[in-house]
Amino acid sequence: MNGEGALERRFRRLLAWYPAEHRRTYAEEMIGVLLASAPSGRKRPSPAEALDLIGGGLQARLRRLGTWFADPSWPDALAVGSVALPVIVLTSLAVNYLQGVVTWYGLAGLSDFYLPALAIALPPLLALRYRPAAAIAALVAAGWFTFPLVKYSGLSGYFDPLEAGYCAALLVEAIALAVSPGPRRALVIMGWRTWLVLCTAGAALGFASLCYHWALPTWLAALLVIAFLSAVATWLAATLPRQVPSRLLLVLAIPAGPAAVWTVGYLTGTYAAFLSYTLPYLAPDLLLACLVAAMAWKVRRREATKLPDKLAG
Amino acid sequence: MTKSSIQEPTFLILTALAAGPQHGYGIMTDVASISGDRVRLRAGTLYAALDRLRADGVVDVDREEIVDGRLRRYYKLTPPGAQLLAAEAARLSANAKAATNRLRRHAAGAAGMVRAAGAAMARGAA
Repeated sequence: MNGEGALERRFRRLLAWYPAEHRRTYAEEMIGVLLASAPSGRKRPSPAEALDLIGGGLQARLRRLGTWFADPSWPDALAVGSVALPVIVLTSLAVNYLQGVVTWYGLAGLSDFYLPALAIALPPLLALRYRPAAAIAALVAAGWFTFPLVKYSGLSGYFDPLEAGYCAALLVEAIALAVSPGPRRALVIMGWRTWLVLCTAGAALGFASLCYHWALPTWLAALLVIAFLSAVATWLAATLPRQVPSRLLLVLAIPAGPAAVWTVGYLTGTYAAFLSYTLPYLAPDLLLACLVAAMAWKVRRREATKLPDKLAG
Repeated sequence: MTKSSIQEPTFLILTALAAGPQHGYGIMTDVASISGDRVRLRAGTLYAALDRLRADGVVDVDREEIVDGRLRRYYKLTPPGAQLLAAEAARLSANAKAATNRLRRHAAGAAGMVRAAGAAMARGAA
């Protein structure tokens, strides 16, 4: 292999640091420039050239991530999220309640049904008229669910995934109501098929608590939950306008984390034992929540200034 | 048009394109020449900047050619890009003028102080 061929091959390998879209647009041109600026006889990129290409690649990836976060479809995704979360939780609670009625195991009590149902249903209804107040109400409710979590778990690592799920759902609800157009916009975007997916997901979540006697192996329970979540995500994505689903799924993934842990606990029939391992599963949730909060802050800032500082630098 | 200043490599790229459409390698050599070899752009930095400037509508593709079997793409300054460069050049020029004026006053002040000190010493000696 001649020197230029080897050098070109190595430059191409370094260009793999760039996103595919960037490579499609610039790779051939960049190879030409890189070869033209390399001293003759060189077989390897210099360390400075390699660092420059790696840095440029990472910068291009970050820029695309920034574009994804700054996309104008975020408010729509959050608006749908502000309705989707209550629908899923309320359907799940309704299935649990009906299960109590049908099986005569006893009706769900105040803290198991009425308070969570009220906490999750009230903010979107309130948002139809008073959106900022609704966001505050959701935040207060999230705090109300956080208090026992912190009080009883302390640093022991014990977290009730159900309460953690309510907490996450209400926190996301508060963010969604604070920075998006809210339920009114969601009602325009969502079709009957979206409602059907959300109600199915909620019903399945409620139904899982009936299956504790299945006592499945953990890997099988986890596999079932992952397969179900993937099916719901795909189905949901097919019912919404382009650009909205990926962002909505990121928002829903925050409460879906604890909900998945809770469901796996029930399917394995080891709910109580499973709880002691819950805390590590909530770490990705915190990361996602931080990402969504950062995005919400960005949306808010853009709306406030209406003057993107795009040309700087 | 923009709230904050643009960075030097971006300013130099826009300055290079102000002379007319240029391809990537041409921009790199022109930037080195404009800056007196002080700024030497590498391909990664150049194409990161060009990608951003194209997305912002400051720079656009003028034409494409195939030379020795390689793609050569020429970039040009758009009207908003020319406006941005003009505004930035005016800003830098105003800053440079203010700095020069103050330095002149500073130098004059320092010279005056030296003269006054010299006169005081001469009086003391007398």
